[in-house]
Amino acid sequence: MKQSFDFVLTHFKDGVFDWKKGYHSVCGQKPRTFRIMPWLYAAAAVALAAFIFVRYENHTARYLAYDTAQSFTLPDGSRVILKPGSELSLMPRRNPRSVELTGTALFSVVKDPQRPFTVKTDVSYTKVLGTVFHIAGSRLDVFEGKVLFCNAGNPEGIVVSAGESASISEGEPLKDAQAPNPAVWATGKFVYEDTPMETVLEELSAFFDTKLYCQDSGKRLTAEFAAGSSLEDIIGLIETALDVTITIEK
Amino acid sequence: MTGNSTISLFGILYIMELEKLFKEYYRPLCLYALRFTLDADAAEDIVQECFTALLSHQADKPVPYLYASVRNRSLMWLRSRKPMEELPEDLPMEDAIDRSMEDARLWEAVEKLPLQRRKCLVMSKRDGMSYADIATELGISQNTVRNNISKALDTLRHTLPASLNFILLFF
Repeated sequence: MKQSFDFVLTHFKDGVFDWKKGYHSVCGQKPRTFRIMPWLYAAAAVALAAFIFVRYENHTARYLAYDTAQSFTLPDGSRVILKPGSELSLMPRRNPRSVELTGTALFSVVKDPQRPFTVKTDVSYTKVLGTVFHIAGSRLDVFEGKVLFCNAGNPEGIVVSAGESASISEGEPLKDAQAPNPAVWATGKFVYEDTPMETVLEELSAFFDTKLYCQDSGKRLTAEFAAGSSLEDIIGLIETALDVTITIEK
Repeated sequence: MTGNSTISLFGILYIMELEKLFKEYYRPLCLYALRFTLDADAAEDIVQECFTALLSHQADKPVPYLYASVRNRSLMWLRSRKPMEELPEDLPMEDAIDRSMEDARLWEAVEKLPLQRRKCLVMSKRDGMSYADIATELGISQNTVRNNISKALDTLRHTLPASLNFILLFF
């Protein structure tokens, strides 16, 4: 080591033994990659970081109900029950309270006045001010609180309150009467309180995909049935309770 | 970039490999040659000849090839200059490589010293000049010369592995 030190100091000469000059005289050109590589590395690193960032920011969470109704808790704590065949998606990094829906879902939304909860479908755009509501295709039913309901792509809309329903017809949001149990597929029961027979039969017909008639349609029903019951059992109970005859058209 | 713009991926990899070889071994090889020749210009010429030979030979293990060929050419150069003299001490190749690396590190450290300090150090150690002569030559006081040399040694002490510090204390 000491020998190394003496040797170097005894023979030291300025400006010799430079590898770049050596490279130049041997290869006839200056070293090139030495200048390119830092750029290449920097560019690659930036591109990779940007790619990861975009992927991360645009990460989309998807919720899907395949053949049974599925219940999910969304990132903001809101609950959603999806009807079979329905799909919900959202970007947690962008805005966890902005969701897109294909199909039918029942929402129970956590209140947060600073950040409205929004649901976008093909035809409608619903802005939620904190509540329980149900969206089926172009139709909206509100059970608690109120929501702003618009045509997709138009921020002007109507406020729909608890107990009210609305749907998009010919591109305009319009209020209409709420059926007694629009979200029976999610709640699992039909609940009637002094409901006109006509309304009851209409709802049951739609649910069981048939057509029910009753000649004595002026009567009113107060009852509760599990959605899993057979149509015959439900009809039997109604006939006994109200002393009417109901016919089924196949 | 300019010049050969059409160059294959293998071409680029080859150039990168070659540049790496130059970057890591050019100076150590020069110092290895210098151990034989004691003449910096001759040493550098020999190393460049060996690299040129490597380009046409495509050796599998370029580093041992370069060291062996630098050694052979250096000895040839010595014989042509002083045919009667004894050959210098010869180390096994691994030790020779290690020593050349050590020499190269020291060389670089000296090269990186501030100009004035380097001048003082080299004049004193290489040229054997007295502090008084150096002071006259550079137009500074003897005290400054002494200061410069001690600071230069200090810097070298910090750039070198710990094992060397001990030795430098007595330098």
